[in-house]
Amino acid sequence: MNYNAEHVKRLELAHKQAILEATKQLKHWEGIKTDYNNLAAKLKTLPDKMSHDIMVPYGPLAFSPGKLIHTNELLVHLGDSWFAEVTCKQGLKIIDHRLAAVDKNIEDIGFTVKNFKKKSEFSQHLNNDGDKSAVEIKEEVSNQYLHPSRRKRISRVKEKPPVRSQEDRNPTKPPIVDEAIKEKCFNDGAFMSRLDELEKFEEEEDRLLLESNLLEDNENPDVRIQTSTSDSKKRVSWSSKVIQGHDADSDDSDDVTNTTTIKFTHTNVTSHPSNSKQQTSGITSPADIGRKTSEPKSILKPATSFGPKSGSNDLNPLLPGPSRKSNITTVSNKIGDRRTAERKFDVAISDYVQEHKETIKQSVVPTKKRPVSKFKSSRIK
Amino acid sequence: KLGPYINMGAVDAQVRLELQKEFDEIQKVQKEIQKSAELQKKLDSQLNQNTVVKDELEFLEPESNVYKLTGPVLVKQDLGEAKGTVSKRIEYISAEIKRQETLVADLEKQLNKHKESVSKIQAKATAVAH
Repeated sequence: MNYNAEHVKRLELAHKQAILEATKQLKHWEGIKTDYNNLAAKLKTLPDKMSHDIMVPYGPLAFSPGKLIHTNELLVHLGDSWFAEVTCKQGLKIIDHRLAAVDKNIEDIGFTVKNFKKKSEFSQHLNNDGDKSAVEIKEEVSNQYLHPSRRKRISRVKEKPPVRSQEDRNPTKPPIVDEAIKEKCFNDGAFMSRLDELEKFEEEEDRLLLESNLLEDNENPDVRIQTSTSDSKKRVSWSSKVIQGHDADSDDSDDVTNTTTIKFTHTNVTSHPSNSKQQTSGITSPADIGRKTSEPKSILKPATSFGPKSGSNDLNPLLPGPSRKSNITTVSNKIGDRRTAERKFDVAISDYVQEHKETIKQSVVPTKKRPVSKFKSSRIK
Repeated sequence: KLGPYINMGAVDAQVRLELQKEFDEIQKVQKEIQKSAELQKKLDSQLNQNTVVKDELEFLEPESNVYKLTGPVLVKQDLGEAKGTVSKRIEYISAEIKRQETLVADLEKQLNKHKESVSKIQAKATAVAH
C-alpha cells in the first residue's frame, strides 16, 4: 500500500517533536529529583551540629560569614503561601512524599516517550514501499455491523401510496365501461343525484356499523357458524326468510347442524313490502301504490322511477335494500356482507347473508379506513 | 484581512463593511477565548498546589506551627483552621474552573455564529458578483 510520502514525513516529524518535548520534561523532573536528593542528604547532616559556619548571601552579589543556628528547625513551604515549622526528620518525611510525586511524573513521561517511539517505528514500516510481500487487507463493513452512531444514515423511504388498480392509472387498457355510456351517465343529472343518495346511504351504513358494534354484546345472533379462523368468530344471520331454497342447499344447512345452529326469525318489516310474490298482493289500496312507487326497490332504481320496475333485482344477493333496519339490529358489517355475499349463493334468497364479525377485542374501530366505494371511485376517475 | 477567497474588485463597498464588522467580532471573541484559556491554566496550577498543601497538612504533627504568608508577614495559623481554609480554597478554585469552561463554550458558540455569518456574506457577495 503506497501512502503519500509527504504525509508519512509529516507524521514522522510530529512523532519526533512529541518525543523531544517529552524528553525535555523528563530532564526537568530528573533535575528536580536530584535537587531533592541533595536536600535530603543535607538535612540528614544538619542537626549533627549546634550551629554551622556558613557564608550568608547578602544581596545579589555579596556574601558574609555567619552561623546557621536552630539547626533542627525548618520552615517548609507547603505551596500557595502556606508554611510550616518542622523538624529535620519531619522535613525528610516531606521530602520523601515529594520525591514519590516526582517519580510518578517521571514514570508517566517515560510512558509517553515509549508510546511515541513505537508510533514512529510503525510509521517507518509504512514508508517501506519495496516490501511486496505485505498485502493490506481491506474489508468493507456493512452498515448493520457498525455501531449505530457510525452507521450511514439511510433516509427513510417514503411509503408508497396504496397501489390503485392498474386500470385506474393505465390509460392504454380498454375501459370497462363504454365511453358513450359513461358520458351519458355523468351528464345525467338524475343518475348523479342517485349516486349522491347512495353515498349518503353508505355513510349511514357506517354509522349503523358503529352503533351495532357497540350493541353487539347484547344481541342474540341468529346463526352461529364455527369457521376455521380462530381469532374471529363469524356470526351469520339471515336477515329475512328464505323463500326458495334448493334442496341441496337446505340439506347443506341441515348438515351443518353439528357445528351450527341455524335459527332464523322473520323480520317484521312493516314499512317495506316483502319481496317477489307477495309484492303484487301487497297493494290493497291506492295508498299502497304511492308507497310502492316512492320507495326504491333496488339499488339501481332511483326514488323517481328511472329503470325497469321489476322484481328481478330482488333475487340478486349483491344488492342490499336501503331500509333494512331490521328489528334485529344485525346490520353490522354490511360492507363485509356485500363482499361475502359476492361468493355466490345459488340460493334464491330474498336477502343476503350477513356476517357478523366478532373479534376478540370487542373494541370499536370507527376510524377504520373504509375502502373507497365503487361509486365514488368511478366518479373520481 | 478579509481573506484570500474573495475577489475584492467584485465586492460591493457595503458588503465589505459588513465583512469587516464580522471579522472584528471574530477577533474579539478569539481574544476572549485566549484569555479564558490562560486563566484556566493558572487556576489549574493553583488547584494542584492546594491539593499538595492539603496532603502535606495531613502529614504534619499537630503541634507544629503553620504560617500563612499575607504580604510580607508570616501569620501563624491553627492547623485545623489552615486545613479548612485550604479545602475551601480548593472548592472555590474548582468552581472557578468550571465557570471558565462554560464561558469558553459560550465564546466558541459565538465564534461559530460569526464565522457562519461571514461565510454567508461571502456567498452572497460571490453570488451577486456572478
